[in-house]
Amino acid sequence: MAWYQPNRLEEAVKQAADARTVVVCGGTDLFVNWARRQGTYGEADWMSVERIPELQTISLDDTTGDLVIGAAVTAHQIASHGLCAAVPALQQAARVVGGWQIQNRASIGGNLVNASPAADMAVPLVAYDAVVALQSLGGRRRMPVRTFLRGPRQTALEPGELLTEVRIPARVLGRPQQFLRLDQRGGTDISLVSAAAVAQVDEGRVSFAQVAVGAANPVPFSLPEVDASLQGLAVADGAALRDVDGVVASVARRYAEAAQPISDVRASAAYRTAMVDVLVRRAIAGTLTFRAIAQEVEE
Amino acid sequence: MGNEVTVRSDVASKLRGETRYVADIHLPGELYGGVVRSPHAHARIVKVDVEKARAIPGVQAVLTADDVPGGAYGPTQFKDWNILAKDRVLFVGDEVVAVAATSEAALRAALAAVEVTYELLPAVLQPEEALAPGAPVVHDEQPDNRPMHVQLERGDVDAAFAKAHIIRGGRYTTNRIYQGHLEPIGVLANWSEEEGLTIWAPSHIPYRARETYAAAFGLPEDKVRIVVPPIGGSFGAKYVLKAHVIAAALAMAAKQPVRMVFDRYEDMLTAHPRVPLTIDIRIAADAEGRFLGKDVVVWGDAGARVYWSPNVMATACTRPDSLYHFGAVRAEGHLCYTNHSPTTCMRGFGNAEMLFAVESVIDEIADGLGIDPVEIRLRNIVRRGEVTIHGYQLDSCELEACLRQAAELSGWARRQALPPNRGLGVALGNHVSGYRGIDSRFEGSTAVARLRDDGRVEIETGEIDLGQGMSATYAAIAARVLEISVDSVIVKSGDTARYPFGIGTLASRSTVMGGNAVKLAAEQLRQQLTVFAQGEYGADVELIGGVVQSGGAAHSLAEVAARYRSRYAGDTLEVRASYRPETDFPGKDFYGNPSPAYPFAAHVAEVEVDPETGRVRVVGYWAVHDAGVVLNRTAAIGQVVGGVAQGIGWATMEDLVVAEGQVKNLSLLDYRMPGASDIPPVSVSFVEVPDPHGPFGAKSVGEVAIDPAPAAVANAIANAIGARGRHLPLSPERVWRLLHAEEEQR
Amino acid sequence: MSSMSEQNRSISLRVNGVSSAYEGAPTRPLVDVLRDVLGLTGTKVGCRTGECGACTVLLDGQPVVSCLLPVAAAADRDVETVEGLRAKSHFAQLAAAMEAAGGSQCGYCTPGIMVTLSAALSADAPPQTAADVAGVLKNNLCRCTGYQSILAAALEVVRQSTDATAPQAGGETEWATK
Ligand SMILES: Cc1cc2nc3c(=O)[nH]c(=O)nc-3n(C[C@H](O)[C@H](O)[C@H](O)COP(=O)(O)OP(=O)(O)OC[C@H]3O[C@@H](n4cnc5c(N)ncnc54)[C@H](O)[C@@H]3O)c2cc1C
Ligand code: FES
Ligand code: FES
Repeated sequence: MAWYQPNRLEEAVKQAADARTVVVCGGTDLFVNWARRQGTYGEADWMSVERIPELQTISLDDTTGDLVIGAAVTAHQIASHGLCAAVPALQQAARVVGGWQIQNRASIGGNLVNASPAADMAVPLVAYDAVVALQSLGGRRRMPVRTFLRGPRQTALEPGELLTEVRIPARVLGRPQQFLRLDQRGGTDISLVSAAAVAQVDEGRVSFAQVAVGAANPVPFSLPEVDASLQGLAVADGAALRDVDGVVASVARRYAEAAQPISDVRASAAYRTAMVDVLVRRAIAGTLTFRAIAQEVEE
Repeated sequence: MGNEVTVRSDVASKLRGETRYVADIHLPGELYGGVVRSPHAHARIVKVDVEKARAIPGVQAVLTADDVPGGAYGPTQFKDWNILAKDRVLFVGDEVVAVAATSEAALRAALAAVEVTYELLPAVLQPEEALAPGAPVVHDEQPDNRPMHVQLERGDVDAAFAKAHIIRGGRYTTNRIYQGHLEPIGVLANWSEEEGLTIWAPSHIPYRARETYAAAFGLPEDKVRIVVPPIGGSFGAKYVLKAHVIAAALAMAAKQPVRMVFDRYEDMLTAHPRVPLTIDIRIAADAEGRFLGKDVVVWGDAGARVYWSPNVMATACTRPDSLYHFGAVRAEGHLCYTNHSPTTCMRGFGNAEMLFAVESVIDEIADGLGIDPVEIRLRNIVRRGEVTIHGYQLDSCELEACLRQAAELSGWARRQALPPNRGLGVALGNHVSGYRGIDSRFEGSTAVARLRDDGRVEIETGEIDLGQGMSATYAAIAARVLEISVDSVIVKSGDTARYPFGIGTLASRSTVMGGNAVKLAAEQLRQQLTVFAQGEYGADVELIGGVVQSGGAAHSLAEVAARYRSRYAGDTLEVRASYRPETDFPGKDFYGNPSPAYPFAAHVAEVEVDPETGRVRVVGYWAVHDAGVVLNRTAAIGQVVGGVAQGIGWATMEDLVVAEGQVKNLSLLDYRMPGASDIPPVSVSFVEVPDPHGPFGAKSVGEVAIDPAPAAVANAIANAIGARGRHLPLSPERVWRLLHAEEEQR
Repeated sequence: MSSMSEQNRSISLRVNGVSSAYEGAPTRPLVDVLRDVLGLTGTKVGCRTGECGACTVLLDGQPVVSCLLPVAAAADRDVETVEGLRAKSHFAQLAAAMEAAGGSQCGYCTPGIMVTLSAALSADAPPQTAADVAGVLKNNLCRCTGYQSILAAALEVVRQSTDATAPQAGGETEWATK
């Protein structure tokens, strides 16, 4: 059993090619109940990616304007970094991951690769239609988070590949947005259902809206064709929300219909389904009445 | 070892991380102990093969039922414990094989190498099913699966119901609450031929533990010594445990010390949670809201062995009858064996469970009659000077004052005009300060008081501090009697070989029982010290401010101590005193005065419910207590807030979920205890009137703190949503279902 | 510094300012190394799943749960446990406030809470309200106190520091309020 701690991406990619290598970042998923679970890893070699500079940065892409977040960036950094003020829904999600101690370790890359149906940071990323970059000795490829996540604990990551960055498209930066989650206590908890929405209102009409729902399907999901029904919706400045209630409610209902949650020790499927309806409605409503952030960022 | 603390040193070491709990203690040559447990709720053991495990290097002992004494024993009068399972396993987690090894790795390998062949048997998992004819029998000695059957009637209940103006009731169920002690179960055991067994066990009833373990191994009691390290929380979980017995068996077999420290998973798998109760209840009242009768049938799930479930059942069947005048009362209690891990008590001991039902039904009667919930309670509560229907003698009782004050502090009048989805709920509670029924042989407490060489005073007690401030209270009592500073009192406890016998810290005993013993011992020490000082310095001696004054000269206690030694061959001045309360053992009829003093409380909770999600937030809480004279204010407030927090968790989020005999939520993630944000500001106040029997007028506070809490929260939720939750916990989903009941039926 | 650590190469630790070399499985949780190898038993184990916070230590000044931290991840970084923190003067201020408020009962959660609060109170933006403190403590469970006394103790320290840095007030304090 060896422990590798590369501080250059190229070395890490080389090491990742070895089939015995298990990648670890913050370890907050991998090392839960370690004494009971270590047996399943046998004689693996370990590679920590948390000190690789390329994976630690948060930056704006000069050409595209995309926000690029390195895979090893922690929830705490996302919650407190100036550039991330442009993605408040992701910050809201980062702030509910565990508590302070977990947020100091939990990485955005780990949250995605771990692929829990209830992963919180994944939900706004799906709403944003963010893209991940995957790198191996064979090269680098990109794909949307929406397709990267395949099922519980399943992703499109191939053996030997590292997730290096998450790219949030410029078009959602600074747009009104919101992440909401339903949990059951104020201590660390897991989402029963979560939802994220990002939208833009131009001249009193919705010009852009994307929604995602977490913990209700094997992976966080979006329904672009349903989101499209929000396009052009008139939400005049200061207008009472009841004017848009009908449309928003029907979007929420369609998300609930598409949800196929499980029944488990935390909640029943029926309840989760009903909560998808509630959270989607609230997330959209909250987003459409929440414009201050957009102005701040654009100014 | 055990605990030796002054008030300040105890807290300071906890804050500095210097306190050594059992997992922090190591003995040279210690082995790691572990247990192979049943994965089945009920099965016949066909074959146990330990050969491979024995062959693993580092394995020092592998024990099966054939290697240990087989006699039945147990901590109560129900003797249904074994050391290891012989023919059948009775629940998931039941102990089959024990292993001790030189390393954790060897232990794990050995546990995995043990092969047990089982033949599955039908399991009985519900108390009501356990009583049905033809149900699987858990213990052959108890073919009806019912180790305890309470049947009790006082007054003519049927007649009372016949003349009632209103009757309300229904079926209520309480949940499986895990004590949630932050320190997992752990133990260290050692054996030597000369001294016998020494067990470092965080148990707050170590003398009962000693008696039980001595019986298990057929040893005389003086060959078993229990040393109690500081306890990292118990709330009822750390009384007398199989883990202690098994570690001891391993140490005897290996002739080496054995440590066994559970991780949270094993702690929860083997947990002995609160006895879940199913309660069918009816209460009858007249048109003015005066209660005429109460009728309950209770089923309790004892699990596969008896721990303290009989006391829980007895308390549930009787205790609220000494809080309200119900007129005529009838209770039938069925305590049933099932194939679940044995259940036991937790803070509140069955009373909080029954009060959840009682207080809910009282609110329904109030609703039905259009009487305010506070008002209907005022019309029915017990008062000072009364003897209750079961014979409790209330020599102090400020319940009415507590209720009025709670209503005032909480702004109860707002209840008429609360915003939507907000609710206020009230509930009352009572408890004991020591319960005569805990031990049929004796009740009371013994303390030793000793003047040390350095002039400080040492108190020894058989009761145990759980962090509830017991030692601080004892120090305060001794300091007050002797007129010395609290910091010059040292309280020692927690070693059956060194300190006086004590029944232990349960049934809210410590303040009144141990406190009175400490007071007596301190008084006698003061008296003897004075007599001695008179002989030394003259008849005019006075003990003032920790100094003996005589004829204008001052003599320090250290000087007095030195003189005493020189006069008595080096001996120290010490006294030993026992407090014996005048209480009655509650016999089969449950009649009598079982405790010297009864504490009371009135709680009001305010909640806000999200009607779309069912998520409840407790946003305000007011607790007013009659704990007699409060001797240690910070500790008493801490007890109340801690109890309220546990009650909030209990009512809104906690539940050890079992299905097919398996616990399904074996982690602190899925067994949700409240975090800091779940607890609102809790306003705590006391109505302080001295109790004639408590030390300096004090009564207990630890358990009554939780008694009203689940009911207060449940009543607040019902007030907020206009529907009543009868099954705890009122989780978001349950509340949501209550709110959407009509939609569901459609 | 070499970027790759070889198999079974010893791991250099710096705990409470003291350097040591650890030899053994790199994946062993730091909490076990602290307790069983270094004898620093002030750090407690309550769950091993990251929920309870009893094992909280500071890693380069930031609180983390040491049950989920493989010892190798702490290599060449600063680890501070309650044993190290208690030697600092600001710890005594918090301890005094906790004692006065009754912030510790059984004490098992206490070292973890002291470590978390120490970090929060010396951060650039210390908590100002009870809700802030509750947020800081989301990862710390206490079964005994109901938290109220702990929140009060933390706020008392904040208050003392604010008073101390106010123009007229005298006395130095270690807690930064800004
Ligand atoms: C108490 C507690 C509370 C929690 N609460 C929440 C919560 O509220 N919401 C939530 O979403 N999650 C929660 N989590 C889960 C966890 O903290 C997050 O999923 C976290 O983001 C995982 O990141 P990590 O860096 O710790 O992952 P690790 O444990 O290091 O890794 C997780 C997985 O990702 C792989 N991996 C990591 N980085 C890479 C990479 N760059 N390339 C390829 N593979 C990689 C690892 O091999 C592993 O399979 C909680 C965990 C705990 C212990
Ligand atoms: S032991 Fe690490 S968080 Fe509980
Ligand atoms: S003081 Fe006991 S858990 Fe916090």
